[in-house]
Amino acid sequence: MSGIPYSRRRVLQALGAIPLSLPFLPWERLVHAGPPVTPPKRLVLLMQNNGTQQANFWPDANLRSPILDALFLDPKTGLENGLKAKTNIIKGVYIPNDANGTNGNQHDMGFARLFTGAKLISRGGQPWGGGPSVDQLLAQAWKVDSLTLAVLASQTEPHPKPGFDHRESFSYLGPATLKHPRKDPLEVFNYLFPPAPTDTRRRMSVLDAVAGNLSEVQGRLGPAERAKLDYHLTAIRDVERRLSGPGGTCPMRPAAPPDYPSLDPNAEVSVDTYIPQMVDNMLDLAVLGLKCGLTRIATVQLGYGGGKWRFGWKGINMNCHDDVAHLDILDGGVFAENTKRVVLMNQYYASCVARLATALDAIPEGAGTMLDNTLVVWANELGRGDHNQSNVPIVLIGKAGGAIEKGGRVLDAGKQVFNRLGCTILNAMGVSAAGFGDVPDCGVFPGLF
Amino acid sequence: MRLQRLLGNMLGLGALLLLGAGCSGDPEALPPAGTESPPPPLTPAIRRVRRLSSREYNNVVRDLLGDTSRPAARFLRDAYQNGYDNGSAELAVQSDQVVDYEAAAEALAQTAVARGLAPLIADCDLAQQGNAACLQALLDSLAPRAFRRPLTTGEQQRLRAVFDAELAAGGDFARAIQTVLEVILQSPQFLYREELGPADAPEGRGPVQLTDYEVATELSFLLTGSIPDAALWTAVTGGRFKTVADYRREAARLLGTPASRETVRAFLHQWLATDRTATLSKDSGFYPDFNQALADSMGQELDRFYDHVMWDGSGSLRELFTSNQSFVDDKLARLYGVQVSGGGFQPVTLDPALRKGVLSRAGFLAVHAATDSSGPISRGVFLLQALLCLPPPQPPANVPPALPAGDPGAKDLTTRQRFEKHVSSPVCAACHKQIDGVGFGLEQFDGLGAYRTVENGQPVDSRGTLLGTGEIDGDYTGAGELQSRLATSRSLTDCYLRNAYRFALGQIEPTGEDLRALGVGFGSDARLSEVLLTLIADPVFTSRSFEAVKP
Repeated sequence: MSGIPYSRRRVLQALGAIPLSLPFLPWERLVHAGPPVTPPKRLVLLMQNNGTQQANFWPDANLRSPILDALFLDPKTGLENGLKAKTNIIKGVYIPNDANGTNGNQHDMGFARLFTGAKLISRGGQPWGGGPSVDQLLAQAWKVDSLTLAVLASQTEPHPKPGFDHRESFSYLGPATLKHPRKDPLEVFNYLFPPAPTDTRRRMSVLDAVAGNLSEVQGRLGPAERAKLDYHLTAIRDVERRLSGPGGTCPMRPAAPPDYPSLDPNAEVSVDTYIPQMVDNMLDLAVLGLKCGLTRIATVQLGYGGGKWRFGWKGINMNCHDDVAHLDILDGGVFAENTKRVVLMNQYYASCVARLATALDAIPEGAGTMLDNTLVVWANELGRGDHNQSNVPIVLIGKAGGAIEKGGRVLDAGKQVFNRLGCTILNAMGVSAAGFGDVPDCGVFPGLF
Repeated sequence: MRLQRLLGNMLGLGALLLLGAGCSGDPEALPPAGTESPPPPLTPAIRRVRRLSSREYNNVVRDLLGDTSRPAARFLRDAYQNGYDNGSAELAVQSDQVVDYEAAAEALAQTAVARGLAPLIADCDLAQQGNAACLQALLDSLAPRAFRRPLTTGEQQRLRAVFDAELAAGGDFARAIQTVLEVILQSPQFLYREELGPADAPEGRGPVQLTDYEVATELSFLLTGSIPDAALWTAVTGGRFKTVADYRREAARLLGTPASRETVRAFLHQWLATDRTATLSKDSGFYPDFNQALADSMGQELDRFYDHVMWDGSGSLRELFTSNQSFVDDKLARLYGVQVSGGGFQPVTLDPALRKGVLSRAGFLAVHAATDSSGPISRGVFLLQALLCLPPPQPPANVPPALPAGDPGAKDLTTRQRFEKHVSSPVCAACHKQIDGVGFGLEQFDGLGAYRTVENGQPVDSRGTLLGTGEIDGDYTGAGELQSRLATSRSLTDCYLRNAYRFALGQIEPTGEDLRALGVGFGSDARLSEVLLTLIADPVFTSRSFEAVKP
């Protein structure tokens, strides 16, 4: 027996009360009377690469800056979009320069360390994350699977180039074990919103037997191998849960995104053309996953570590890692033309964050909005494009279910180690922690809670 | 000018740090060449389960069910953790993969049952023998091949329960068998290869011998990328797969099968990263003739070249890096400037002064190049890392970019000249002397692999210098001479040992591991497969130790 409680629908189905021939949508809400429930907390991590433009990021007293304006102002009306009061900007975060005997550089430290808090570990010299990332720690604590999304296409340098598989994701299930992102919006859509499933009873029966077989193997394994199968078991349970209901809460199946590989077989690998549209799709899918109760954790990765998008859609059309970000070697910028490009890149990332956060803020939930029950983290692998990892900009949006009451602030506690980010996220999400990763007592960002 | 001064200042600071560190990015360097002490035994690996890669999954369902639909083509791409797609030590399963496995299993089971029940139930006569006996036939025949061993009592009971539930729900025998098949195809016993030893092995740290079934499975996946074939299965079930002589006999036989060709080809493609022709991208402004069909031709030339070297030729490193035999279609003939008659791929003897060895083939050169130019840095880094196991460190933080190929200031410069300007500072020179000394040697080939003597009106210079590579250090000119040097290099043969180990074991060797035990008698002229035959007889292949438990 699986140990998964039968849902009302599943019991009804088993009793034959719901004919399988009737349309059954997994995300259909089961109407049940009862007291209002506290909305669950949710987490969104948005990760960009190549640093910000320091002089154009940090805002004035009114939280205005060229880059942050793209987060807080509606691009059409120029009016504030309401996010400012729910936003805390953390200053002073740095990532120590420590390759830990691997071949890693700052892109790896940003991507594999920021959310794991762990030191890099070597696999044949290549740098990998040394432990689970905060989204996966929460996923295990909450017994859910996260929605892990990325847009990795790149004309300049299709990923993965040999030896750089580790830069595919910042999300880790465990030491050197990536949580792989989904890169095809239509696949994600079909995963979240499968066509009305048939054969639910039979599929449950199959998955139960598979889980039984898994437990039998697991009994013979050492701790690390057992942990590997634990992820697999959690994943099976997640699929079972979504099959057995109550499943998602959205009454209608949303519109599907385009099938990019049918437009161009390399659309998701080596073509820049579709990047902005795919990013929008992924952001919208993350919102839908949360809105419809299909996940509580979503991560969206905009490019791979040290990515080389050309930003043609912002009028740049250059290798923006080598020929733009690397030239930004001073906080104030070096020459105006390059500074303008770095600002344009970062305004784009800010607009992506705004798209997601305003969408969450438009969903009524409890006494407020879904954003009030969510923590959206906008993070960066670097502080500045020349690989400088001081003042890595961290933007926290949302009230995390009441854990964060105030907003509209820049919290500047001076130089502070990046591990506080993981510790802050855990505590905001209701998991008590004194530190994170390799700094077990780093505490949270001062003044936030 | 201001920018250059600034960059210069910043680089000056970095120089002190970097020069102090020297130029070795490899924290796991091999013991120095020429060490003559007897090779120490290899460290036994820990007990684990190894998830099938997509390549292996497709092969397994082909061999188990005769299904050639390649369902894993839509699975998540496997990370090359050990440098290969079978880096199974850290391959896990996440919920979107569970959904993928489910969808694949449903489609496979449906197709298999629609084709006929007989092969699934070992020709059991349902009318004569009844449901229970015919289910048992599946549990005794197909299921063990899927799990690569006899089923445990618990596994049999679970499958029977699923079967009974399906009949109770109104399904017929075929439907119940289909459901059982779906369970089998999603079970960890199918999706992971077990390397655990006997179920009753005592807990402890000492190595334990793997079961005959496990060794047979390991051997067949290494050499054929799939489950044991009928002959190996018969040998292991009949108790004729127990000794090193048995292993060698079966390995020699498997090396003659078509599945083995495919697997060795996959190994070579992954070692040299030439599998990336499938996702090759070029800037049409610089390479208007490039398209995916040309990239596919590049990949297919290498398929044929690898097969030719391995199976028609000597199968040696020397031939791989010096042969001028190849196979081209009309697209590649144009690129190479050779004449062929007839359609499709035709054998061709290339001018050895221009093209010999795998490093002069378009599939290698185009993958290891930028989208707009040849890419000597990435070529140099890759060759040092992949062929000589001398990975340079990643570049320091604030590397100023080289002049882009499309920059107006680059229009009278060769690619080499653009990069020479870039690395003229002392901080960069420490590593770039080594990197460029390899990468510049391939400069007579552009980013598509076309031969050139002139670039942007300037003569192409393909002189290089090997540094830090032991006995092959020194000046040379061009890809041909570079490869002739490589073919005599102890660093290359040692590095191949590492790669063979990583592919076979699905993991990186332990830090500081001395792999000379695998290379006794091995050299550039030996068959690459000799190392595999040594490896399968070694306890590292046939036994496992226990995972250290944290106190």
